[in-house]
Amino acid sequence: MFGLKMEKRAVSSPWVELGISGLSIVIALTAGALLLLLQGFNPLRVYSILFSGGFGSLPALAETLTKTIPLLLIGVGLVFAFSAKVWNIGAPGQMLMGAIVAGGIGLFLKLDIPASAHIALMFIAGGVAGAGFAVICALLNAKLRLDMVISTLMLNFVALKLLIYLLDGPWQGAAGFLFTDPLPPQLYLPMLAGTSIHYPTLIIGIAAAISAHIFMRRTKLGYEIRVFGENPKAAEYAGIHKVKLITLVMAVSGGLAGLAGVGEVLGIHHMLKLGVDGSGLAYVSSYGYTAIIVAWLGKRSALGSALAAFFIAGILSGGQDLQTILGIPYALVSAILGLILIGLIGGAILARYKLLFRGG
Amino acid sequence: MGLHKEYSMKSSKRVRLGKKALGFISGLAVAIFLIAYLELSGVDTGSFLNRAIMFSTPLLLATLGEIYAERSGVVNLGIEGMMSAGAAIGMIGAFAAENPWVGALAGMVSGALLALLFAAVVIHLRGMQVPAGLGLFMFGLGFSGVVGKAVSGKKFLFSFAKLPIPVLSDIPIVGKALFDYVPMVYLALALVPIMWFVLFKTRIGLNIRTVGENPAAADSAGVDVFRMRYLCVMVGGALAGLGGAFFSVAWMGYWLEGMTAGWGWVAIALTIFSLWNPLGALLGSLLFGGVYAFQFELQGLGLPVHILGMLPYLVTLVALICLLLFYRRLGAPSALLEPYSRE
Amino acid sequence: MGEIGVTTRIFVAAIVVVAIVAGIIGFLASPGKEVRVEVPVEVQPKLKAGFIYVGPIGDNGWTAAHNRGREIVDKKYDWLETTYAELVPEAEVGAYIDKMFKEGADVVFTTSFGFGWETVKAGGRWPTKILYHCSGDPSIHGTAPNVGFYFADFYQIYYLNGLMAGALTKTNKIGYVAAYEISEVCRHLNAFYLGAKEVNPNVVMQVKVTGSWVDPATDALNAKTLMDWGADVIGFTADAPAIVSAAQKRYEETGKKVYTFSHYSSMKAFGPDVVISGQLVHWEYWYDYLLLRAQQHEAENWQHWALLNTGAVELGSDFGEPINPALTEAISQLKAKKVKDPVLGEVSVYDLIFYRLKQFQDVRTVYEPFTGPLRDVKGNVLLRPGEAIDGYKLWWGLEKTYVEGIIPP
Repeated sequence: MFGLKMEKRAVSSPWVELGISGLSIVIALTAGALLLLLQGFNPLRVYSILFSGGFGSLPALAETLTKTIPLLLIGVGLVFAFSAKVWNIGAPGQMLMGAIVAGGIGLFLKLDIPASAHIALMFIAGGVAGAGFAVICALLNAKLRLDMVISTLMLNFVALKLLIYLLDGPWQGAAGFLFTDPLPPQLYLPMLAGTSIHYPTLIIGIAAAISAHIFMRRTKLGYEIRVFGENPKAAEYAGIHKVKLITLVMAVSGGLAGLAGVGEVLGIHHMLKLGVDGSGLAYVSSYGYTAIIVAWLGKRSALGSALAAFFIAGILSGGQDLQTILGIPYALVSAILGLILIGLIGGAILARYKLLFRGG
Repeated sequence: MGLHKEYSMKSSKRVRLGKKALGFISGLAVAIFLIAYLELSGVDTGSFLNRAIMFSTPLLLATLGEIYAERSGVVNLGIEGMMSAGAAIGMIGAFAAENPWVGALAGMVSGALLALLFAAVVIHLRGMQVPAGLGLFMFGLGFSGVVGKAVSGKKFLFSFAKLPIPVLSDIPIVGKALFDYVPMVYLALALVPIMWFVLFKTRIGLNIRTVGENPAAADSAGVDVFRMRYLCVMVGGALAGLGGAFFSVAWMGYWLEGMTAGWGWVAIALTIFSLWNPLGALLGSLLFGGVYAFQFELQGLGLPVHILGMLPYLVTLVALICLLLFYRRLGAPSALLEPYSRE
Repeated sequence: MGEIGVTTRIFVAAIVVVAIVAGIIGFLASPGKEVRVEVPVEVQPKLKAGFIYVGPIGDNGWTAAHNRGREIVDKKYDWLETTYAELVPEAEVGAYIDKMFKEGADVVFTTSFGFGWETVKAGGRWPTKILYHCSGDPSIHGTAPNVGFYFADFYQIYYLNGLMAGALTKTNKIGYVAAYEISEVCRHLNAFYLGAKEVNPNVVMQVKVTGSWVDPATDALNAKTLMDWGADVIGFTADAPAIVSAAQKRYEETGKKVYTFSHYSSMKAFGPDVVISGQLVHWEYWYDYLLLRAQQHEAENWQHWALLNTGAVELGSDFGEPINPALTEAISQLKAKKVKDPVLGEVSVYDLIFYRLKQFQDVRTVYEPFTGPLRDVKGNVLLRPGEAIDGYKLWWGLEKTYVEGIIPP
């Protein structure tokens, strides 16, 4: 190609990486702006409402934090999986399994224990359910080399059908519609005053992010995961046990997704219903899919994902304002998020390679 | 030494043939069982197959396209996004020209352009394919939701008319199953042998496969790896877009946000199921479409309706597991997921 | 290890900086505070109403009907300003309600059964505002002084459609495509079947469940399955005109008529030759009533039902036509088919339909289709001879209930 040459960098500087991520986002937003212009919208107004709706006031920040919770939990889990290049696309299904188990326990398991113990039990059970669901795929991959992408995807649908079966069947509430009876009030998670921030789940999420960060950077197993992700064959030669590793990362990412599901049931909806995973009628907006961008934006680092979760949650929140103030379909938010992700992926190369302009 | 080699080659060939025969016989047995069940419960098998095949056409198209992309070494997980865009833009094009063929073409072009964006990021910029594909999915889905508002819910009056092939469509069972469709279904069915032939029996197909197996070797043999990959990814996009346009322009006659309902994801699974062979794509989409349609035949038996709804996904998984038990490895193109650089 | 740590830390710090900057930009870019203008006493008090939809306004079904109601009242009253949000996920209802109230709305309508609890919770957060939830949920009625409920049900109209179905079917097979097996859907399909059976004791109905409100491909598949089985009239509860399209296509390809119905909105455009009648709604009936009261700061925190004895629902393929006048062959069939009614004696189905319609439009409950003797498919007695169905069971208790003679899913 005329004029452009790519030369590999000797050392990738963190400042460069950072600048490039920022630049990628800006380019993505610019591309989005072009699309907006074509559709007859004013991009500056759109973006300003988007950001103010997400970050521009205390209520907006509260809503953003509420959305951050599931994105954070699932995102941290996906960091584990993606670091090992294990493509867990099954977070939506794993999240639903956690929600289902928690809902079931809350509705049908009458225990004579204090509410906090009951809630803790639900979290643990939900996490185990999500982990177990994910480990099925890990085992299929280990024993049969079944591609993770296909098994996790199919199980997403299976989990959704299970939820619908329960809601249009044995667990249907007295209202005769697609949700269960509400959980007993003592099982509701406490919220920060005046908001819907169910902070116990948030605390779990932050703790998970910190532990994940320490685990990935300071422990041998964390190191092995990253090495495996970089070069699976070399890792195996070095004695890293592939099956154990894949099972571990799937269990962790599935478990965290399950916890997110429990949090949504106990903290937001207080019952089991369609849409506990954040999805709407036709639009696939399960937190499990959005969390993938979170994991990527966070450069596959647990702490980075935490901040990325906040950022993405803000965009989702601000996107609501686009509908109510400007009448722009919410789909635009998905388009912008997609562009940002593509931009980041594309821009990543500039961290490894230098772009040189050669004359003539 | 030579005799020994011949003997072991023959026996392994016999084993392979044996496995293939077993697979074929079991497939046949399942098919016979299903047809018997249908006929005995009073359902016309020909009509059933007609519904099932019509339903699987978008899956078939998307899978055929993705096979080419993956054969050249690129995984494009953004099929659902390209299908959505194809459905929306196809509908817009169809309305603009008041012609369904233009709609189909518009759908193809939009899919190909989205694929081009993805290809640039993944091939030239060496981006990671899995997350880039997910980004494409989100972008395509969102993009279709925004541009599609203009035609949301409007009835398209110039849809394809059904073209039953005379005489052939009167053959019992097979006639309705193969010769009683709108033109796009014939197109999709015809693409199967064509794409199979190109992939396995032509020079270009050989180049594609080499690029996917060993791009360095292909490069030194003079094949332009980048160009091959761009081509295949864009073919994948065009067919995914066509599949999406099928939903809106050919089938429903209107566009609604979210109408592709996750079929793009199923196509990704079916690509693996097809063993990257267009004939396998036909089999896989028939299997999925057939089981999907079959779940509604089973609805009268008193089984929980939504558990039946799991069937198509579980059957696809189980079928794939059985395949793996037989074949040990799936035969994915070796260079899948790896960006190529002339280092 | 140290190097990687540095990168992460710097990156993390940079993201924080970016987020803070974005937040500052966002904050500064927030729309400014509104300036309040003194309103002269003679002018009608202004009202802003927000509408929260679960589906897309282009669905030609449930959400399109609500949006039509909104547009009608918006145009009618110039003191009224409306806004809406579509495709709202369950998890975001509360957030959208809050945003609408913050942006100046005085009343918010939430239009999906699943949004009820969030609506009540929001009522607690905004005690000076008014909220209405469409569909209603018995467990939350009256729990908040500023949250009311409204609905308009079709079951009587489905019964009337059923009368047509029973008379029009030549194969004695009719079909029903249901989204789910919940109480509302079963109420509709059972009413449909009861109507058909009344004029045609030999008729059999098969039900197929789609599993989603918005899945036109599967709806079309189910419609085809039923048509291939032999059904020549199809009723449905689904939010897209897919079934109507499928029936129209079948007619265009084979010349065989499969009659079907409009649902929530006129679907004649999708099936000009096959839509004989349907269930139509006028949500503006409730929006008008409730908004006028909201303008006076009155919240009616109980359930508002509307049946055929109000103007909220209408029998018809399109507004103003109970039976599609273009389908002359079907109309003559309805006039030709005679049945023996215990009250009227021998009467044509056509006349019976309009007689029943008048009965339904009477403000006293004069005719109840759900009257015993009635058994379900398993043989259990649902209603004893002469017993009319209990109100609670009719609204909330019919899930997975199928009247004898139906082939259930």
